[in-house]
Amino acid sequence: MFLPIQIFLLLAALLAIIFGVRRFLRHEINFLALLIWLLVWLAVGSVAVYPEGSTRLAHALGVGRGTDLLTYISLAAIFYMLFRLFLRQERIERDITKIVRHTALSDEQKDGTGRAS
Amino acid sequence: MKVIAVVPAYNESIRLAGVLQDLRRFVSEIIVVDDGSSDCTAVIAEQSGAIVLQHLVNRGQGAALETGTQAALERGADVIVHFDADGQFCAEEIPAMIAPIIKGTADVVRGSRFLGKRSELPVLKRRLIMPVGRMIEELFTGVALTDAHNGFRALSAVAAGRLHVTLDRMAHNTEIIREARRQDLRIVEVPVTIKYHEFGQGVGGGFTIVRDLLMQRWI
Repeated sequence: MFLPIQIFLLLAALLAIIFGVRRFLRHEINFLALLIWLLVWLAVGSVAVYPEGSTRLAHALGVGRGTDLLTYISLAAIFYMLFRLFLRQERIERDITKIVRHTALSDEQKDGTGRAS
Repeated sequence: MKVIAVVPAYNESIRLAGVLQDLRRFVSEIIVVDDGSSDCTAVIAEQSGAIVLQHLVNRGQGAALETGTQAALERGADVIVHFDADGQFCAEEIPAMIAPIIKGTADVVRGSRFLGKRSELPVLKRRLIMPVGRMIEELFTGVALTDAHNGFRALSAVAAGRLHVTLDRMAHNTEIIREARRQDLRIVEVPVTIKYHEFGQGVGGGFTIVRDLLMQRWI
Protein backbone atom coordinates (compact mmCIF):
# COMPACT_ATOMS: atom_id res chain seq x y z
CA MET A 1 0.00 0.00 0.00
CA PHE A 2 1.40 3.37 -1.05
CA LEU A 3 1.45 6.36 1.29
CA PRO A 4 -0.09 9.63 -0.01
CA ILE A 5 3.36 11.25 -0.38
CA GLN A 6 4.52 8.30 -2.50
CA ILE A 7 1.52 8.65 -4.80
CA PHE A 8 2.09 12.39 -5.06
CA LEU A 9 5.79 11.95 -5.92
CA LEU A 10 5.03 9.24 -8.48
CA LEU A 11 2.44 11.41 -10.19
CA ALA A 12 4.80 14.39 -10.16
CA ALA A 13 7.58 12.27 -11.70
CA LEU A 14 5.23 10.90 -14.34
CA LEU A 15 4.00 14.37 -15.31
CA ALA A 16 7.56 15.71 -15.37
CA ILE A 17 8.66 12.87 -17.68
CA ILE A 18 5.71 13.47 -20.05
CA PHE A 19 6.49 17.22 -19.99
CA GLY A 20 10.20 16.55 -20.77
CA VAL A 21 9.45 14.15 -23.65
CA ARG A 22 6.97 16.65 -25.17
CA ARG A 23 9.53 19.44 -25.04
CA PHE A 24 12.09 17.12 -26.69
CA LEU A 25 9.62 16.17 -29.45
CA ARG A 26 8.96 19.88 -30.05
CA HIS A 27 12.75 20.38 -30.38
CA GLU A 28 12.76 22.76 -27.40
CA ILE A 29 15.49 20.80 -25.59
CA ASN A 30 18.28 18.58 -26.90
CA PHE A 31 18.75 14.88 -26.27
CA LEU A 32 21.30 15.41 -23.47
CA ALA A 33 18.91 17.69 -21.58
CA LEU A 34 16.14 15.09 -22.00
CA LEU A 35 18.44 12.35 -20.71
CA ILE A 36 19.38 14.35 -17.58
CA TRP A 37 15.71 15.23 -17.03
CA LEU A 38 14.63 11.57 -17.35
CA LEU A 39 17.38 10.38 -15.00
CA VAL A 40 16.41 12.92 -12.33
CA TRP A 41 12.70 12.05 -12.43
CA LEU A 42 13.27 8.31 -12.71
CA ALA A 43 15.40 8.65 -9.57
CA VAL A 44 12.57 10.55 -7.85
CA GLY A 45 10.09 7.85 -8.91
CA SER A 46 12.37 5.05 -7.70
CA VAL A 47 12.87 6.73 -4.32
CA ALA A 48 9.07 7.15 -4.02
CA VAL A 49 8.43 3.46 -4.71
CA TYR A 50 11.43 2.12 -2.81
CA PRO A 51 12.47 4.64 -0.10
CA GLU A 52 14.93 2.22 1.52
CA GLY A 53 17.00 2.42 -1.66
CA SER A 54 17.97 6.03 -1.00
CA THR A 55 18.97 5.14 2.58
CA ARG A 56 21.15 2.32 1.30
CA LEU A 57 22.80 4.61 -1.20
CA ALA A 58 23.25 7.25 1.53
CA HIS A 59 24.93 4.70 3.79
CA ALA A 60 27.20 3.60 0.97
CA LEU A 61 28.27 7.25 0.55
CA GLY A 62 28.71 7.80 4.27
CA VAL A 63 25.56 9.89 4.77
CA GLY A 64 23.25 8.99 7.68
CA ARG A 65 19.81 9.04 6.06
CA GLY A 66 18.41 8.86 2.55
CA THR A 67 16.49 12.10 3.02
CA ASP A 68 19.72 13.87 4.04
CA LEU A 69 21.38 12.68 0.85
CA LEU A 70 18.43 13.96 -1.18
CA THR A 71 18.66 17.34 0.58
CA TYR A 72 22.38 17.62 -0.24
CA ILE A 73 21.81 16.67 -3.87
CA SER A 74 18.88 19.12 -4.15
CA LEU A 75 20.93 21.95 -2.68
CA ALA A 76 23.80 21.29 -5.07
CA ALA A 77 21.33 21.19 -7.97
CA ILE A 78 19.73 24.49 -6.90
CA PHE A 79 23.12 26.21 -6.64
CA TYR A 80 24.05 24.92 -10.07
CA MET A 81 20.78 26.24 -11.50
CA LEU A 82 21.38 29.63 -9.85
CA PHE A 83 24.83 29.73 -11.41
CA ARG A 84 23.37 28.93 -14.84
CA LEU A 85 20.74 31.64 -14.36
CA PHE A 86 23.41 34.15 -13.38
CA LEU A 87 25.42 33.33 -16.51
CA ARG A 88 22.36 33.66 -18.70
CA GLN A 89 21.56 37.04 -17.15
CA GLU A 90 25.15 38.22 -17.73
CA ARG A 91 24.92 37.17 -21.39
CA ILE A 92 21.71 39.14 -21.76
CA GLU A 93 23.40 42.15 -20.11
CA ARG A 94 26.21 41.93 -22.65
CA ASP A 95 23.75 41.77 -25.50
CA ILE A 96 21.97 44.86 -24.15
CA THR A 97 25.33 46.67 -24.04
CA LYS A 98 25.98 45.72 -27.67
CA ILE A 99 22.63 47.16 -28.73
CA VAL A 100 23.06 50.33 -26.66
CA ARG A 101 26.58 50.82 -28.07
CA HIS A 102 25.43 50.23 -31.62
CA THR A 103 22.69 52.85 -31.19
CA ALA A 104 25.09 55.40 -29.69
CA LEU A 105 27.67 54.89 -32.46
CA SER A 106 25.20 54.93 -35.33
CA ASP A 107 23.51 58.08 -33.99
CA GLU A 108 26.93 59.71 -33.95
CA GLN A 109 27.59 58.73 -37.57
CA LYS A 110 24.16 59.98 -38.67
CA ASP A 111 24.17 63.48 -37.27
CA GLY A 112 27.65 64.05 -35.95
CA THR A 113 26.54 63.61 -32.37
CA GLY A 114 25.67 60.48 -30.47
CA ARG A 115 22.66 62.15 -28.94
CA ALA A 116 19.58 60.01 -28.95
CA SER A 117 16.65 61.86 -30.40
CA MET B 1 49.33 63.50 -33.59
CA LYS B 2 45.62 63.27 -32.84
CA VAL B 3 44.97 62.78 -29.13
CA ILE B 4 41.35 62.02 -28.22
CA ALA B 5 40.11 61.94 -24.64
CA VAL B 6 37.29 59.52 -23.84
CA VAL B 7 35.26 60.60 -20.82
CA PRO B 8 32.58 58.24 -19.53
CA ALA B 9 30.02 60.25 -17.57
CA TYR B 10 27.06 59.19 -15.47
CA ASN B 11 25.15 61.99 -13.75
CA GLU B 12 28.20 64.26 -13.67
CA SER B 13 26.50 67.58 -14.41
CA ILE B 14 28.15 69.30 -11.43
CA ARG B 15 31.81 68.70 -12.24
CA LEU B 16 31.78 67.91 -15.96
CA ALA B 17 32.05 71.45 -17.37
CA GLY B 18 35.19 72.21 -15.35
CA VAL B 19 36.77 68.87 -16.25
CA LEU B 20 36.15 69.39 -19.99
CA GLN B 21 37.47 72.96 -19.85
CA ASP B 22 40.76 71.70 -18.37
CA LEU B 23 40.93 68.77 -20.77
CA ARG B 24 40.51 70.86 -23.91
CA ARG B 25 43.97 72.41 -23.49
CA PHE B 26 45.72 69.05 -23.74
CA VAL B 27 43.84 66.97 -26.34
CA SER B 28 42.68 67.38 -29.94
CA GLU B 29 39.12 66.15 -29.33
CA ILE B 30 36.97 65.07 -26.43
CA ILE B 31 34.37 62.31 -26.62
CA VAL B 32 31.94 62.22 -23.71
CA VAL B 33 29.93 59.03 -23.38
CA ASP B 34 26.81 59.90 -21.42
CA ASP B 35 26.03 56.56 -19.83
CA GLY B 36 22.27 56.91 -19.48
CA SER B 37 22.39 59.89 -17.10
CA SER B 38 19.15 61.24 -15.69
CA ASP B 39 20.58 64.77 -15.30
CA CYS B 40 21.80 67.23 -17.94
CA THR B 41 25.26 65.64 -18.38
CA ALA B 42 24.82 65.33 -22.17
CA VAL B 43 23.72 68.95 -22.58
CA ILE B 44 26.66 70.26 -20.56
CA ALA B 45 29.07 68.09 -22.55
CA GLU B 46 27.65 69.39 -25.82
CA GLN B 47 27.81 73.01 -24.67
CA SER B 48 31.45 72.44 -23.73
CA GLY B 49 32.17 71.50 -27.34
CA ALA B 50 32.67 67.77 -26.78
CA ILE B 51 31.46 65.06 -29.12
CA VAL B 52 28.64 63.41 -27.20
CA LEU B 53 27.66 59.77 -27.48
CA GLN B 54 24.63 58.69 -25.55
CA HIS B 55 23.90 55.31 -24.03
CA LEU B 56 20.12 55.02 -23.84
CA VAL B 57 20.39 53.14 -20.55
CA ASN B 58 23.16 52.94 -17.98
CA ARG B 59 25.62 50.20 -18.91
CA GLY B 60 28.60 50.87 -16.63
CA GLN B 61 31.97 52.55 -16.94
CA GLY B 62 33.63 49.71 -18.86
CA ALA B 63 30.86 49.71 -21.46
CA ALA B 64 31.01 53.50 -21.84
CA LEU B 65 34.80 53.45 -22.26
CA GLU B 66 34.56 50.80 -24.98
CA THR B 67 31.91 52.80 -26.85
CA GLY B 68 34.01 55.96 -26.63
CA THR B 69 37.20 54.15 -27.63
CA GLN B 70 35.53 52.69 -30.73
CA ALA B 71 34.29 56.16 -31.70
CA ALA B 72 37.76 57.63 -31.13
CA LEU B 73 39.31 55.02 -33.42
CA GLU B 74 36.71 55.78 -36.09
CA ARG B 75 37.68 59.46 -35.83
CA GLY B 76 41.31 58.58 -36.50
CA ALA B 77 42.84 58.92 -33.05
CA ASP B 78 46.56 58.21 -32.71
CA VAL B 79 46.42 58.23 -28.92
CA ILE B 80 43.35 57.69 -26.74
CA VAL B 81 43.22 58.96 -23.17
CA HIS B 82 40.70 57.51 -20.72
CA PHE B 83 39.75 60.26 -18.30
CA ASP B 84 37.20 60.34 -15.47
CA ALA B 85 34.40 62.93 -15.48
CA ASP B 86 34.42 63.55 -11.74
CA GLY B 87 37.44 65.83 -11.57
CA GLN B 88 39.75 63.37 -9.80
CA PHE B 89 42.44 63.46 -12.49
CA CYS B 90 44.71 66.39 -13.44
CA ALA B 91 44.53 67.25 -17.13
CA GLU B 92 48.01 68.84 -16.81
CA GLU B 93 49.38 65.31 -16.44
CA ILE B 94 48.18 64.21 -19.89
CA PRO B 95 51.40 65.21 -21.73
CA ALA B 96 53.41 63.02 -19.34
CA MET B 97 50.88 60.19 -19.73
CA ILE B 98 51.01 60.14 -23.52
CA ALA B 99 54.76 60.80 -23.83
CA PRO B 100 55.79 57.09 -23.74
CA ILE B 101 53.30 56.32 -26.54
CA ILE B 102 54.46 59.25 -28.68
CA LYS B 103 58.09 58.19 -28.14
CA GLY B 104 57.11 54.67 -29.15
CA THR B 105 58.23 53.06 -25.89
CA ALA B 106 54.79 51.97 -24.66
CA ASP B 107 51.41 50.82 -25.99
CA VAL B 108 49.42 51.11 -22.77
CA VAL B 109 50.15 53.76 -20.11
CA ARG B 110 48.48 53.71 -16.75
CA GLY B 111 48.63 56.34 -14.06
CA SER B 112 50.01 55.43 -10.65
CA ARG B 113 49.39 57.13 -7.32
CA PHE B 114 52.44 55.45 -5.84
CA LEU B 115 55.31 56.60 -8.03
CA GLY B 116 56.69 59.70 -6.40
CA LYS B 117 53.66 61.97 -6.55
CA ARG B 118 51.60 62.12 -3.39
CA SER B 119 47.84 61.61 -3.65
CA GLU B 120 45.78 62.24 -0.54
CA LEU B 121 44.33 58.74 -0.18
CA PRO B 122 41.90 57.93 2.63
CA VAL B 123 43.81 55.89 5.28
CA LEU B 124 41.67 52.76 4.86
CA LYS B 125 42.33 52.86 1.15
CA ARG B 126 46.09 53.36 1.47
CA ARG B 127 46.66 50.77 4.21
CA LEU B 128 44.17 48.01 3.37
CA ILE B 129 42.23 48.28 0.12
CA MET B 130 45.15 49.24 -2.14
CA PRO B 131 47.61 46.51 -1.05
CA VAL B 132 44.92 43.84 -1.37
CA GLY B 133 43.76 45.35 -4.67
CA ARG B 134 47.31 45.29 -6.04
CA MET B 135 47.75 41.67 -5.03
CA ILE B 136 44.47 40.60 -6.64
CA GLU B 137 45.22 42.52 -9.81
CA GLU B 138 48.65 40.91 -10.09
CA LEU B 139 47.02 37.52 -9.61
CA PHE B 140 44.63 38.13 -12.50
CA THR B 141 46.99 39.94 -14.89
CA GLY B 142 50.40 38.50 -14.12
CA VAL B 143 51.75 42.05 -14.16
CA ALA B 144 53.12 43.64 -10.98
CA LEU B 145 52.12 47.30 -11.04
CA THR B 146 52.56 49.91 -8.29
CA ASP B 147 48.88 50.91 -8.36
CA ALA B 148 45.61 49.01 -8.75
CA HIS B 149 42.61 50.12 -10.75
CA ASN B 150 43.84 53.55 -11.64
CA GLY B 151 41.43 54.79 -14.31
CA PHE B 152 43.80 57.37 -15.82
CA ARG B 153 45.02 55.58 -18.93
CA ALA B 154 46.46 56.22 -22.36
CA LEU B 155 46.38 53.79 -25.27
CA SER B 156 48.07 53.86 -28.65
CA ALA B 157 45.65 53.43 -31.56
CA VAL B 158 47.15 50.00 -32.22
CA ALA B 159 46.59 48.93 -28.61
CA ALA B 160 43.06 50.39 -28.53
CA GLY B 161 42.22 48.49 -31.70
CA ARG B 162 43.34 45.22 -30.15
CA LEU B 163 42.02 45.60 -26.61
CA HIS B 164 38.29 45.16 -26.33
CA VAL B 165 36.56 45.79 -23.04
CA THR B 166 33.94 43.12 -22.48
CA LEU B 167 33.39 43.72 -18.76
CA ASP B 168 30.80 46.47 -18.52
CA ARG B 169 31.29 47.50 -14.91
CA MET B 170 34.50 48.39 -13.08
CA ALA B 171 36.55 45.24 -13.76
CA HIS B 172 37.52 46.61 -17.20
CA ASN B 173 40.60 48.16 -15.62
CA THR B 174 42.12 44.76 -14.81
CA GLU B 175 40.77 43.31 -18.06
CA ILE B 176 42.68 45.89 -20.13
CA ILE B 177 45.97 45.09 -18.37
CA ARG B 178 45.35 41.34 -18.62
CA GLU B 179 44.61 41.55 -22.34
CA ALA B 180 47.57 43.88 -22.93
CA ARG B 181 49.87 41.38 -21.25
CA ARG B 182 48.34 38.48 -23.20
CA GLN B 183 48.96 40.32 -26.46
CA ASP B 184 52.51 41.30 -25.52
CA LEU B 185 51.74 45.01 -25.52
CA ARG B 186 54.15 47.22 -23.58
CA ILE B 187 52.65 48.53 -20.32
CA VAL B 188 54.20 51.54 -18.59
CA GLU B 189 53.18 53.38 -15.43
CA VAL B 190 53.44 57.14 -15.05
CA PRO B 191 53.12 59.02 -11.74
CA VAL B 192 49.83 60.89 -11.35
CA THR B 193 48.00 62.74 -8.61
CA ILE B 194 44.43 61.80 -7.78
CA LYS B 195 42.20 64.30 -6.00
CA TYR B 196 39.67 62.54 -3.80
CA HIS B 197 36.23 64.14 -3.61
CA GLU B 198 34.72 60.95 -2.29
CA PHE B 199 35.92 57.49 -1.23
CA GLY B 200 35.46 55.80 -4.61
CA GLN B 201 35.55 51.99 -4.84
CA GLY B 202 35.11 50.33 -1.46
CA VAL B 203 35.38 46.71 -0.40
CA GLY B 204 31.96 45.85 -1.86
CA GLY B 205 33.01 47.23 -5.25
CA GLY B 206 36.15 45.12 -4.99
CA PHE B 207 34.11 41.95 -4.57
CA THR B 208 32.05 42.78 -7.66
CA ILE B 209 35.25 43.30 -9.64
CA VAL B 210 36.66 39.92 -8.58
CA ARG B 211 33.33 38.22 -9.33
CA ASP B 212 33.19 39.77 -12.81
CA LEU B 213 36.78 38.70 -13.54
CA LEU B 214 36.12 35.14 -12.34
CA MET B 215 32.87 34.81 -14.27
CA GLN B 216 34.32 36.21 -17.50
CA ARG B 217 35.52 32.86 -18.79
CA TRP B 218 32.10 31.26 -18.33
CA ILE B 219 30.06 33.86 -20.15
